[in-house]
Amino acid sequence: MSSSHLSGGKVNISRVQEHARKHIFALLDNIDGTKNIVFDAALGSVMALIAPKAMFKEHNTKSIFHLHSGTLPQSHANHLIFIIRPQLSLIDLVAENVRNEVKRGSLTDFHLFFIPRITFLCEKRLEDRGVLGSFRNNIQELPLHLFPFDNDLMSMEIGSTFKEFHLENDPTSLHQTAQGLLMLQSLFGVIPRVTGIGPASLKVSEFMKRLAQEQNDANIPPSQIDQLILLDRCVDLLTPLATQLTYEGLIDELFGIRNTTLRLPAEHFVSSNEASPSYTSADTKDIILNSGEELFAEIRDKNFNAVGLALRKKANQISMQFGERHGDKTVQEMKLFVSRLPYMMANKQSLANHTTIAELVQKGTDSNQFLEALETEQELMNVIDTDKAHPFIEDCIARKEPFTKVLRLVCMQALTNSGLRPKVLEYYKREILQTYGFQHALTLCNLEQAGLLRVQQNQRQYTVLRKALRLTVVDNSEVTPTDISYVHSVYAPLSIRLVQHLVRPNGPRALQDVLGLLPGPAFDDIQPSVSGTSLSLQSSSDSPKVVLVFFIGGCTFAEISALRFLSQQEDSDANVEFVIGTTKLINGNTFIESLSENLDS
Amino acid sequence: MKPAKVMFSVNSSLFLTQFQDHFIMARQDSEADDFWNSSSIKSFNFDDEETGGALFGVSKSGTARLSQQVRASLPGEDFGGTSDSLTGSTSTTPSNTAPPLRSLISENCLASILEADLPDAVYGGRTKKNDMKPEEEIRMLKRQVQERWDAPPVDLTIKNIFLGRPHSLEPYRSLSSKHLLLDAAINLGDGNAILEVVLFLVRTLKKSLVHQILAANPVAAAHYARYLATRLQATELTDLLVMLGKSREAAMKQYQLCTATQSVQRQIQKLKLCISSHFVQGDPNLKKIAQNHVALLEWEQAVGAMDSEDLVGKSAVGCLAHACRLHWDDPRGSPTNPFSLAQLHGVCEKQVQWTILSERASQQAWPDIDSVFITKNWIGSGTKLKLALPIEKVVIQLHSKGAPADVLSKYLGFVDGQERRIALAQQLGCHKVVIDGYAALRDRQGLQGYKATLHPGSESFLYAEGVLRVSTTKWKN
Repeated sequence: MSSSHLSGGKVNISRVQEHARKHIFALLDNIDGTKNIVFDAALGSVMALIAPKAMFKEHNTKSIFHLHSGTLPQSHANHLIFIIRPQLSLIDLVAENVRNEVKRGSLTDFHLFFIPRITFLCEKRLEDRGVLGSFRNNIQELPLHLFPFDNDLMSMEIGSTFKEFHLENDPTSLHQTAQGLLMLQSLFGVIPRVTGIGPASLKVSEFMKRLAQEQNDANIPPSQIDQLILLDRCVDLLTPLATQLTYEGLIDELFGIRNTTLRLPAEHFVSSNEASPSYTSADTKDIILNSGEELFAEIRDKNFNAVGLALRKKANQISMQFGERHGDKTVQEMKLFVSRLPYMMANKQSLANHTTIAELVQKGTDSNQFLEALETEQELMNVIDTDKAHPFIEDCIARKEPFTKVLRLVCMQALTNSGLRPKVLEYYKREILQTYGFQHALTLCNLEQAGLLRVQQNQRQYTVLRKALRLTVVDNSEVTPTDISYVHSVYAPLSIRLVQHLVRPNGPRALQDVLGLLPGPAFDDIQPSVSGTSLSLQSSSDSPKVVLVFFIGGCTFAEISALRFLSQQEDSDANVEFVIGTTKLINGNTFIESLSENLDS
Repeated sequence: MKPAKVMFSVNSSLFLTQFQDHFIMARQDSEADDFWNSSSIKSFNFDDEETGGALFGVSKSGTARLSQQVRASLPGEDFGGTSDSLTGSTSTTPSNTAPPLRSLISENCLASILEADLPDAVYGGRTKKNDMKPEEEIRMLKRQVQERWDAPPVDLTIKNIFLGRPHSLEPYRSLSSKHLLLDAAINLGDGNAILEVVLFLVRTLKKSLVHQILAANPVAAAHYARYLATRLQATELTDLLVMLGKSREAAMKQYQLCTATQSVQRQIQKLKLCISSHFVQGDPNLKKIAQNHVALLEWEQAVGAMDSEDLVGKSAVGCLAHACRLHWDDPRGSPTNPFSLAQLHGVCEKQVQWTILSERASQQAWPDIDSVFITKNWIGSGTKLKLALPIEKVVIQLHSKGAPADVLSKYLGFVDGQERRIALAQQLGCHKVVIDGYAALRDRQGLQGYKATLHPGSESFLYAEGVLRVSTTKWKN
C-alpha cells in the first residue's frame, strides 16, 4: 500500500518510500514485544511521508510521541524507542526523558535509533549525560537519507547543509547526499551522466564515485534516469531570496509549508462538513498539499494571478457536474452519476479549501507591506538604484520590520549590485545593529562569509549574467506563461536557467562564458555502469530524457514549479522530464534563518 | 546496519593499558621517538576505553572455551611470524618485522585479556556468532591480534569508523601513519571520522605538532574548532583559531561566547576583556561594534536601575526611544539625554528623527516635535524644516499618532507641490488644507467636486463654500 501521490511520475518515487519502510519496520520487528516510539519533533512530522501512524501500529507500536522536555504520557509498553537525528540538543532531551522514566519506575527497555547514523559527539554526549548505559546495545542506525515528497520530488530535510559546508568546512551532509544518491541508483540504476556546478557539487560527485567503488551490488537495475545535475546553492544565492509568486510558493512564503502540510487556523474552514477531521486539533487545521489532490496539482505551479481564474473554471465545472442530476435520467445513467458522487464531493471539498486558502493568500499579497517589498525586489532585479542605500530598506529598518525580511532585501541588493559599495554596506550594518541589537553582528558576519553580503569587486557578475542568461523578462504572461520567469513575475531563477543549458548535450561548454562568473568548478562526467561499460547517452528521441536535478543547500517551490513548467513544454528543443531532489525545501526566510546565529543556545 | 558498539569495562581496559605499555617499550618505534608525547602512559587514560575496547569486540561468545583453544595453539607458533596461512592476506605491511607475541606479553596476560569480561558475553552480540566454527573464530582472533601489531590500511580503518564497525586507532603510532589516517578521513568526507581522528591526534601528539597538522588541513581544523565550541572550551578554541591565523574568527567566537553570558555584569566584564585581547588589531568596525555594545549595556544597566525598568537586551534605537519617552528634558550632556545617547552610538540622523517623532508624538508633545524639526530663520518670521526624512512619512506618522488638525496642517504646509499636498491631505482627511490647496491652484471644479464629498453643513463644507464665494479669486475654470 504505497501512497498514490508518489507514483505516476517518470520515476516511481513510491519505491523510495518502500525502501525506507522496509528499513524502519525491519528494525522495529527485530524487537519483540509492544513498543512506544518517541520521534524528535522535526523527524516526527517528516516521518508521516514514509508511513502513516496506522502502519506503525501494525508493527506492534502502541503510541507515538514527539520528543519534549519533561515526562512522557503514561503508556506502558515493553520497549520505548527514541528515534532522532544526531543532534546534541536532542540527546539532552532523550537523557531527560530516560531519567524521568526511570524515576517513575518504568520497567521498559530503552532503545535509541539515529537517522541516518550516530556520531561520535552524540555518543560522547550520551555518556556525559549518564544514559549511555540505559541503552546498552540498543543503539541502532536507520540510514534514511531521502524522504519522498511527491511523484517528482524528494528531500533530505537537512537544513544545515549550506552553512555546514560553506561556513564551517564540514562535508558530512554532502557525504550523506552522496549516500542518498547511491540509494537512488540502487533503485533506479546508475545515472550515466553527472553534470554539476559549484564546490559542493564536485564534492558530492567525488563522494559518489568513492562510495560506488565500495558498493558491489550486483543487481542494480538498468538506468531509468539519464542525467544527474548537481547544483550547489552557492552558485545561485539570489533566487531563494526573491519572493515566490507561484501558488504553492506564496503559501510557503506567507504561512509556511512543512513536509507538505499546511497548518491554518481552523476558523477559516468552519463551513466544511467533513466526515473525518482526523488531522484537526482544537484550533488549527492541517491540509496536505501534494499531487494526490487533483485540483492542487493543477494550480500549485501557476502564478498566483492565474489561480483565481483556474478556481472559477473549476467551480463552473463542478456545478455543471452536479447540475446533471436534474436532467432526465435512465436508471443506468443515474447509477453512473451516483458512483461518481464521492469523487465529485471530494472535488467540491478541495475547491472549497483552496478557495479559502487563496483568499488568505490574497489578503497577504494585497497588503501594502507585501506590495512595496515586491516592488523593491523587482527594482533590485532590474538593477535600478542598487548602488545606494535603498529608501524602502531604510524604512523597513526604521519600522523594525522582521529581521529576516530586512536581511533578505539587503542581501538581495548586495547580490544584484554585484556587491555593495563599502560605505553603503557599513551604513546598513550599523543601522541593523542599532535597531535590532549588537548581537546580530554574528549573523551579519555569517552572511558575509557565505557571500550573501559583500563589498563590490571589479566584476559586475549579476549585470553580465542577467544579460547573458536573460534573468529578467518583461513581456512574459503570468496567466499563460512562455518562460520560467513567471514564477517570480519578472525574474527567471538563475539556477533553472543554468539547468536549461546543462541538459543539452554540450551544455557546460556552451555556458563557458558565464561559468567563469559563478563559483566553480563545473563538470560533466560519464559514469560507468555496473558492468564497466559506459552507457549509451542517446535515448530514443521520442521518449523524454529523465533528468534528476539535485539542489545541494536547498531549493524553493518556485524553482520546482519552474522545472515542472519546463517538463511540460513539449515543443522545446530539449524534451526533458525532471525529477527533483534537494537537501531541504527552503524559502528566503528559512534560508536566511539557517545562516543566523541562534543566540539562545 | 551497525552493530551495537561494544563498551569495555574499566577492568579490561586496565589490562589493555598495561598491554600497550609493554608493547611500547618493546617496539621502540624509531620514527615515533621524535614526536611521541613524552608521557605516553598519560596518553592512555580511561577515555580510551571505546577505541581500545572495540579491538576485541568482534569476539562474541564462548570466550572461555576459545581462549583455551587459542592458548593451545600458542606454543610452536609465532604470532608475529610468517603465519600467513592463518592471518590470510589482509595484512599489507610485511609482518615479519613485528616481534614475537610472547616477547611482548606474557601468556597469562594474553589469556586474561581474552577472558576479560567481554560485554558481549553479558549482553549478547548481534553477529552471526552461532554460525561460526571454533576454528574460524580462532583464526579471526589471531588476525585481530596480528592487526594490533600491524596497523590495517588506513582506508579500511576509516571505513570502519564510517560504518560504525569496531576499530582502533592505537596501532597508528608513527607520525606518517597518523598523517595518512587524517588524509584518509578527510578524503572520505565524513565529519564523524574526521573528528575522531583529529581527537586521536590531539590525544597522542604534542600540541605544537597538532597545530602544525591542523594548519595544513583546514577541514580538520574546522571540525576541531566546532568540537571545542560545542564543548565550550573557549580558551583552547581561541588559541587554535589565532594559531591558524583566523584572528577575526577567534574574535567573533569570543564575542559570541560573551553575548551568550546570562549575567549582564559578567557580560560587560567579558566583553571588555574580549575587546582588549582580541579586537585591538584587525577590523576597526568590529571593534567599534563591540565597544558600542559595552557602552549600551552599561547605559541599560544604569538607566534601567534608575527608572526601575528592565532595559537589558534592548537595541540602541530601543534605548533611544526609552530616553525620548522618559528623559526628554534631561540636560544636554547628561548621558540619559536622547541626543547624547544618539551621539554616543552614532545613530544616523534619520533614525534619530524617526524615533523622536514617533515617541514624542505618542506623548502628544507636539511642541517638542516642532522644536526639533522646525527652525525659525534669523529674522524670526519665516520657518524652515530641518528634516532628514521624507515629509510625507512625517505627516503620515503624525496622523497615525493622532495629531490634531492644526499640527497636521502645519506639516502639510511643508509638502512641496500643491497636487501632492492635496492628495496627501485628502488621504488624511485634512479638509481645510485640501480646500486651500484647490484655491491656490484656482481650481474651482476641483474644489466643487471635493465639496460634494463633504458632509453638508459641516464646518469644512461651510469653509469650502466660503472659499468658493470669495469674489477676488480668479478661477481658472
